[in-house]
Amino acid sequence: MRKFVIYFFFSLILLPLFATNLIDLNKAGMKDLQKLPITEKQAQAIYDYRTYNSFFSSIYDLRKIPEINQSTLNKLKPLVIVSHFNDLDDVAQRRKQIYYLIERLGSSEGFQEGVSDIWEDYLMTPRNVNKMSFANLLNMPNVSPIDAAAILKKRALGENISNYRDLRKTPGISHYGATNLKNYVYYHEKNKANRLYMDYQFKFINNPYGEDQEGMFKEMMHDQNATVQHKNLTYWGYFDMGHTQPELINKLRIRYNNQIKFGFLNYTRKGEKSLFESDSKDVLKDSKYFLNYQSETKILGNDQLKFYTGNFRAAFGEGLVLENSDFFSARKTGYGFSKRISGVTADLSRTDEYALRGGAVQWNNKYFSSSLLYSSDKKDAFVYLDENGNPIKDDGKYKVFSYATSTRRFTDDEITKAEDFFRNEMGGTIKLGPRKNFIDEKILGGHFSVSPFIGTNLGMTFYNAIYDNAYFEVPDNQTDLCDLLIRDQSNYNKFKINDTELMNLYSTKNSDYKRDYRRVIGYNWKTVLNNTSFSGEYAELSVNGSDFKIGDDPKALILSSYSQFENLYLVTLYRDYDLDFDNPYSNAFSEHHRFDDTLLDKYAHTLTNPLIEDDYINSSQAQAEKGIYVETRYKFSKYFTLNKTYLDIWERKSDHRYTTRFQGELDFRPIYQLSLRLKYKNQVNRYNDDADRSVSKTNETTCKVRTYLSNRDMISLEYRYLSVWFPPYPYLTNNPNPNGDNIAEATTLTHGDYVSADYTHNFTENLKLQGGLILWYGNGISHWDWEDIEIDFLGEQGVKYWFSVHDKISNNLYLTLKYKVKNYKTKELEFRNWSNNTTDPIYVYKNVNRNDTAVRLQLDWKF
Amino acid sequence: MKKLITITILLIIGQLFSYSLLERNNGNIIWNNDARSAGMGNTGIVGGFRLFDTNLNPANISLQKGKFGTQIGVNLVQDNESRSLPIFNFFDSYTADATYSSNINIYDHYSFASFYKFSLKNMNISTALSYRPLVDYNTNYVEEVRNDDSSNLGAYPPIIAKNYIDGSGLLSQISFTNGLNYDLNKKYLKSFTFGFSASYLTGSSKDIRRIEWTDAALALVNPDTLLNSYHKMKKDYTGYKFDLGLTAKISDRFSFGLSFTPKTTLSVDGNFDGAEINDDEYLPSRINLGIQYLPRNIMKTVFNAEINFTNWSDVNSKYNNTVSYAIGLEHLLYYSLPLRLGFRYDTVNYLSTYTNSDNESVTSNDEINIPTFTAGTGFKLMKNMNLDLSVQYSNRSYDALDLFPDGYYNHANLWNYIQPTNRGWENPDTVTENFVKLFTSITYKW
Repeated sequence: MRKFVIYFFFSLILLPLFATNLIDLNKAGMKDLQKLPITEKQAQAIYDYRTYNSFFSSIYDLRKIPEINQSTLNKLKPLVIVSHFNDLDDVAQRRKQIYYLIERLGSSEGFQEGVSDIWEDYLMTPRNVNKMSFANLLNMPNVSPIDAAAILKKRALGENISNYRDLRKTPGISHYGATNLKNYVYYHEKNKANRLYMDYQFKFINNPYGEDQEGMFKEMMHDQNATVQHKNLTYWGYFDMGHTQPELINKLRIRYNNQIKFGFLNYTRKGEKSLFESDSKDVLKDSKYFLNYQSETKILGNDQLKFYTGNFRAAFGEGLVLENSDFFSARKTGYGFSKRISGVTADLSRTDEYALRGGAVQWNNKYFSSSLLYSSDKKDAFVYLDENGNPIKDDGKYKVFSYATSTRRFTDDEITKAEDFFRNEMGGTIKLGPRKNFIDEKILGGHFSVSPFIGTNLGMTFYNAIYDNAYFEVPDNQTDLCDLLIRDQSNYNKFKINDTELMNLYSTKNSDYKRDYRRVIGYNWKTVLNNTSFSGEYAELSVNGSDFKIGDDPKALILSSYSQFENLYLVTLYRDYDLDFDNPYSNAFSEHHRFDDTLLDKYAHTLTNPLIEDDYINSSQAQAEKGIYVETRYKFSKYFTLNKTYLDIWERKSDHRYTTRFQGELDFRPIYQLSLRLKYKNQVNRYNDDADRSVSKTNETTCKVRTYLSNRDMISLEYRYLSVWFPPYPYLTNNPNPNGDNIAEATTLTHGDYVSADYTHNFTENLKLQGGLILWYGNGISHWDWEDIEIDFLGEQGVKYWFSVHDKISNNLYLTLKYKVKNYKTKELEFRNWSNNTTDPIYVYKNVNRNDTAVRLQLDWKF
Repeated sequence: MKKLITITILLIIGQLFSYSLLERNNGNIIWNNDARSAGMGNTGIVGGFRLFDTNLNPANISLQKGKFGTQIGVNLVQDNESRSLPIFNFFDSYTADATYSSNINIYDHYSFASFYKFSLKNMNISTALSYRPLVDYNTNYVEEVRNDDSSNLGAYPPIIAKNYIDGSGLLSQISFTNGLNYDLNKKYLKSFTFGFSASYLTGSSKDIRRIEWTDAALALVNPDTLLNSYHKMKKDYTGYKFDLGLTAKISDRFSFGLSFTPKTTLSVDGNFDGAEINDDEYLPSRINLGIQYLPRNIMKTVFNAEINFTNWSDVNSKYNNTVSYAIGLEHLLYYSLPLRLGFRYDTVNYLSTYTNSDNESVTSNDEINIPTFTAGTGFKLMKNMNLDLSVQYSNRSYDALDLFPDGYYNHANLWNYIQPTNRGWENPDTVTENFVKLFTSITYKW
């Protein structure tokens, strides 16, 4: 025994000496590896595995190398060691851990795309939850006001949150709020590793234009009584828009921690000249950039100061006064997934028309929040044109109709040449035309709010936009407006009651006044009582009344409440927007965006210039509505969840059309891997009168089965059936020939369905393949399909398939490649079937199907 | 003189016919014929270790493993071309295009190469001999012309004429390539390679364009007034082409490469309907730049990114010089099975003529974009033998004038309701093309 003890201690002393002779597989060079009793090829294979595949986590990883068999491994076992080694620094490790969240944020487009950059920064460099203000907490994704107030209340009692368990046990916080917040925060003061971060993103998108956009560009630009059918008399044919340059995005973001940030974005819309083809002057003018400095100081407690120059976003309250975005989002409650980030933030989104460019400063602390912003930029506009196509001046300034968020931003040179070409056929009927960077706009705005109690704040927001070189002038009577918008007098009857929405656009010059500004002032509030938060905002556009007197100007109001339980939330929202509350910088809750169902939506072929339809297609502003919205999500048992379910009852202000819309989704999950979903949607539109004119009813039922296979692979199958009762559409039911409308008009029932299958396959954790196949039958009804990161409109009938490859090439280089093919019938088939006048020449065509392909490439480089 | 003008116009607008009608100006240049790099978006300027990759960069000759090797390749191309004309709804708005002619053709290409490598300490010198098709002139187009008889009764009207374009021929390249590789093993430069290639080009092309009236038409109109149309152009080409290339391995992970092909002159002898043609034609100069990145990944990964600058103005002063972008990926699934993916984006020129407001004929240039997806894999057939397989899919769409203008068929007795007239640029054809290319190659090395 004594001998054994001596040998044991002796060997312990000698072990390190022997150990130094062992070769460390994670550190050895080629020369060291060649000393092992293996062939040169095997040594090279070990070296290559370590260099190009992975560091060794154990000796047994050697068996993953094809050149090393079991006997070689047995031979090597006593001769090698594996030290713990990792080439990833803290940042790379962090990115690896939360990459699934970054990927999810990166898939946000439209109104959320700028917001996702901010969240990504906080994912990579989290903040101390024990120092975050109410506003900061509230700006994190899926954190409710009740969650934020719960954290502050806990801190006010002198308790620190020292880990996730503490956070989760905070009284009043929801499971959902805590799990979403945990990736954005840390708990202890830690030594900051100061670091420079850089993200570069390149996107190449070659998607076809949407149906609305195509329709607008394909309208014929000639006198409506002429029968000329020349493709080049359309914007589509003239600009050869079927074969245009793809959409390109180059985005660079550089930041030093969360303190100094710089960003640059060049976005080229489909058909426009790319970054490398444009003049250098235009590149800077049409690009977005910012420089931001943020500091946390102690002036009045934990203060946060932010300074911005360049492009920035501003959103306050419920978005009624100021939330600048070119993108509309339906039913944006401000809670859950449709969250808005309050305050001033950097802006590298594709928002262009309502982009703010200048300087802003923001000061937040526990008791108040204040922001002041100044923007000076040139904005696109629909401009009044004379018979020769020159912009009309009135009283020394140009006359403009509205802002213009264009599907394709034509240069002035391009558009004037096209208009000249069309004018030969149309005479002087192009009365409005889009012009790039036309209005000189200067905005001074700000927000101030106080927070007297935890979870409560009261604020005021304002902005004043000065237009130096132009008057907004919109005719305030129907005849003049028809003269301006509608090409042929025979179509003036297309102007309906709801088109009064157009007459209510804001004018800076009319018979009552002449001014150079648009001014909006609003008041917002929020308070948390137990498990319920109450919010609201009231805003007025200064027209004829006094700026600060309430009720004497066009106004808008939102009231909302959010109640939170462990397995349930309930949102209730009331909104009431006046028809003449025309605030292009608002982005508040609504079902529809501006000009929905007006002649800009339905009768583009009657317009003096069909491009005005862009005012409808790309509107980000809410339609004037009044109504109440209730939304809930309730997990009422282990297996059953009522997913987002809502009821909305509202009135369209322009023509008093009433709508009820209900949507509910029940999810049954007997085991984790399997989800069975039943979704039902019902919408009824009607006018509250005895004639019961124009009632329409939509019913949609969807069944979806989704199951996870091994290795996180997933397959889902979906079937959808919908039916619509709608008012008579003579253009569908009657013969289009003169005097052909001889069928008795009746409410029409039509139905369509849709079947789809999606599959996700993970080859490894770095390589994922997704694909989908859809067959649909629309019969006049449209379907919407969510692909991996895009939404697609499906009209008529057809088949579509797509696939995308998501490749994590290395820890800082990511690639997504998507390809889509869509085969579908166009309405042309129907049109041609009706054109059955036997005296007309009929051509024979092999088919009238459409075949669209779409390509999307995204490359992300993060370091 | 008139004939000379006709020939000149044909030389500008329709000098060569390749497997796609669009490439009539330059022939269809086959930039790559290696199956591995084809699967990776035709990227192989740097790190292209198959023998055929010397066509992308002659410096690749020095990357060959073994002392002696050979490669054989068979490639297939399917071109699906549809020509459509615009149709309008009852509001006279343009809504879509109706296809009136659709042709699917399949063509094949064969390549061969062989190399020998001589090693000296840190240096090796390699030499190769190869044969490959460089420009393809094959094409096949058929169009039926029907009149308007009985169409309002839902029946197909009779065919009154058939239009044909038959093109054939190939310009082949026989190359002698040399390369030198030197291992420096310095911190920022592990090794560099240099390559040079000289090629002899030879080939011929034939193009026949004809219109044949059918019996149905001849039964309606006096046959003496309906004469078939037939035009033939034949050309023989010879020339010399040179390529230079360089690659540098900066570290275990990064390599950089470039290659350059100067403008190539082809001397052309031939005739058009009996009139002699003696002229020079040109292939464009081209600069290729590429990087290769080998990250650490569970699946061993190769990432290539390349830019190609092609000076089309060498061929025709009206052409724009174009830039192509490509990325390629190779993953080794399960440590052995390669999965290759790629995407490239090319731009080609297209000359179109139109009559301006002063009634002058003007030729202008349009650019057409072609996105291409690629995928491929490979198998080890035996110890030193590899089989690579790849597929490429690309599509493009462009506007073009009617190939056989309708006014030609306007004979009173042939039509009931309409008088066919020529369609100009106010209502052009929309041409859509899908290409599916299958690449296979076998490599054997000693």
